[in-house]
Amino acid sequence: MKFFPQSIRWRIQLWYVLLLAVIVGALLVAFQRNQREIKYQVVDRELTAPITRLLPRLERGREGGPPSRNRRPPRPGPGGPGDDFGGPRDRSDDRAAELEELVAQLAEKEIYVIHWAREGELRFPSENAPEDGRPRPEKITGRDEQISKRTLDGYREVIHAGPPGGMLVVGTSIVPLEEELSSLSYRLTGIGVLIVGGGFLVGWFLIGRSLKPIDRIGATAHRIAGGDLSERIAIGNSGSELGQLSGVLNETFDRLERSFEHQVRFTADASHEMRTPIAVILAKSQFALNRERSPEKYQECLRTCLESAQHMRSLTDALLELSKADSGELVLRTESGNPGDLVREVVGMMESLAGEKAVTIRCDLDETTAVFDSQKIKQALLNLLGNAVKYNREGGEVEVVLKEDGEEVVVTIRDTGPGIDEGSLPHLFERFYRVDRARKREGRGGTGLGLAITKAIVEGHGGTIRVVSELGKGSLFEVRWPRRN
Amino acid sequence: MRVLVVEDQDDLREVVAETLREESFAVDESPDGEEGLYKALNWDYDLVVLDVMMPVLDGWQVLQKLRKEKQTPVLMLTALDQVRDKVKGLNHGADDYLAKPFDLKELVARVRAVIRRNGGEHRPEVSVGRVTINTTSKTLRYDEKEVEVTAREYAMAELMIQHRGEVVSRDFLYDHLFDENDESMSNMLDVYVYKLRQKFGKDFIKTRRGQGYLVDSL
Repeated sequence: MKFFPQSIRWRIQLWYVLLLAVIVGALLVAFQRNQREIKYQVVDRELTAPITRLLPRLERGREGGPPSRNRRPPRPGPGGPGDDFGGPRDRSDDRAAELEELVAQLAEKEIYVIHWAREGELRFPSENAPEDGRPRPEKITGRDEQISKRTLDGYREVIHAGPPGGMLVVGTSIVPLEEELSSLSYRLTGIGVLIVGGGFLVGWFLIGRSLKPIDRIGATAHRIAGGDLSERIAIGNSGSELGQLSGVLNETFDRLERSFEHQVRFTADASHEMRTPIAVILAKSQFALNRERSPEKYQECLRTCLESAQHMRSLTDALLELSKADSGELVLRTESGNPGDLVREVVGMMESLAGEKAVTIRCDLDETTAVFDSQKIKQALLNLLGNAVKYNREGGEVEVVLKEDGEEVVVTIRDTGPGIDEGSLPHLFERFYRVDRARKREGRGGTGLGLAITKAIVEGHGGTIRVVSELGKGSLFEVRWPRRN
Repeated sequence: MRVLVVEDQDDLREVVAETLREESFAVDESPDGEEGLYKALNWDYDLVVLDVMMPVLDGWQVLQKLRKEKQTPVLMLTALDQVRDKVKGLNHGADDYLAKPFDLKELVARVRAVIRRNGGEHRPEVSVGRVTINTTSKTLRYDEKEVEVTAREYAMAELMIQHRGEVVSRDFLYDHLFDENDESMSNMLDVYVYKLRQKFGKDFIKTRRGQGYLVDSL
């Protein structure tokens, strides 16, 4: 059972129309009530007005008997009383005539008059009074006002208690009034339906218009999901909420696309780096097997294959390490220690390589303690120092400085190599980025991942790595990480 | 047939060069694009095996610069095997394209195919008079009987048959038969011509005095 539609458009539309209908309905009902009240007030005033003129004549008539009776029975109405009274004829005749005239005038306006005498005796129903005997209203007591009103069987009546003991009712049919009111109701209903209908259409249009960006966003997201990452949402009105949302989404898509491209390039680079050693192993082993070779040749081929396999191993190790860092699985076994000892150890390991290139390594190490994973930091420093030696000029210098800077340990490694051009600096820590593709790789050692791993290690320690370099003047790498976790 | 191998990966370059040498090509090597381009422009190679990702000048640049001056056949060798790269290579004037890692046998077959196409020869087997050469099995037959030849003799016969009907200068022969590391004296040519005449008859190779040698096209 889906009574409530799922579409936002329909929901908003439904609520909106419902609300509109309630408000319009309430207004129209109130208006109709008000109209009815006003009309009844008018009628009541019309009915009340003659009372003041009727009363004196009736009072007199009561003293000397109802004047109408004396002259002629006003009509063959219900039980017209006989005229068996004597009295001052002229005066009461005059009054009776006046009364009659008054009643006739009122009759023209569809108003009837009924008069009961003191003991409930019906004394005076005017000609146009309703045929069936009107019940005598209950006596009105305890009120200053002697006037009350009632609506009975389609008649509106104003009841005046008096002349004393008696009861005067002035009434009129309200059928035409009710008809008028009900036709007004129909018209109001019509108007209400029109307003709500119009509101529905306007609402439909407005909601449609304001929801249109959602369609666009949806369509764009759909295309992006389909694989076209370059798609963007066309932002119509950047001020609106949906415009802002589109902006945010576009930014997200940008970042998504960049990271996706990054991933694609990384995969392509990784597979490219893999291909070369595989090509060597494949070609070398095929070459060896092509024909009978000398033992030396076999040895050479096997050695080449071995070296390529070792290169592949270091590549896969590096990739694994990076993927661990990416997925946050880089486990650091941190303990407190003296980073100076570690730096000395790393420098010791580099000495033979430095000796080959006649590079001098100078150290300036402060004694300090810090918390770090010695294995990982050693790897990072080996990478940096290795680069500093490998890419140095013959007879160059490397300066390693370790010092405390507040709550941080800072290791700087400065070399006198060729330096790195400005364009390459931002990409330096990217995977497989090589500063100078022209530079011949030193043997098979480089994986192109060293600096990326170094960065991952340092950042794993909550630290930072940065590089300052100028072409022709060498480079400076600075690693800093907090001394305490 | 003289081939230049331009590849920055030492092991790979060596094994490719060595393999081609065993297939009786004269092979020169270059470890980077700049040197490769220099050699390709200054010698008339029958084919250049060109790696794409290289220091100094990459394969595309070498190809572009080479094509401005020469139509030397080029076989591109690279780790990028996306269709886009293949198309790019072929559109830039490469004659063939091989993705790493490749099969050595395929490389040799493609090298042969490219050379054959560019020598205007599509068939692996060609007959000239009573001599038949098969460039696939690298055999020579005289009156349908296979004749034993050394690699150098075969290479010379192949070159002469490829240029049958033309007078081939000694310099040309020398350039295409020996690589840069050969210390052979030019009179080695005379030795090979003598040996071939011995095996395939005096008229197989004719001497045009002062111009070179000729193998009749029929």
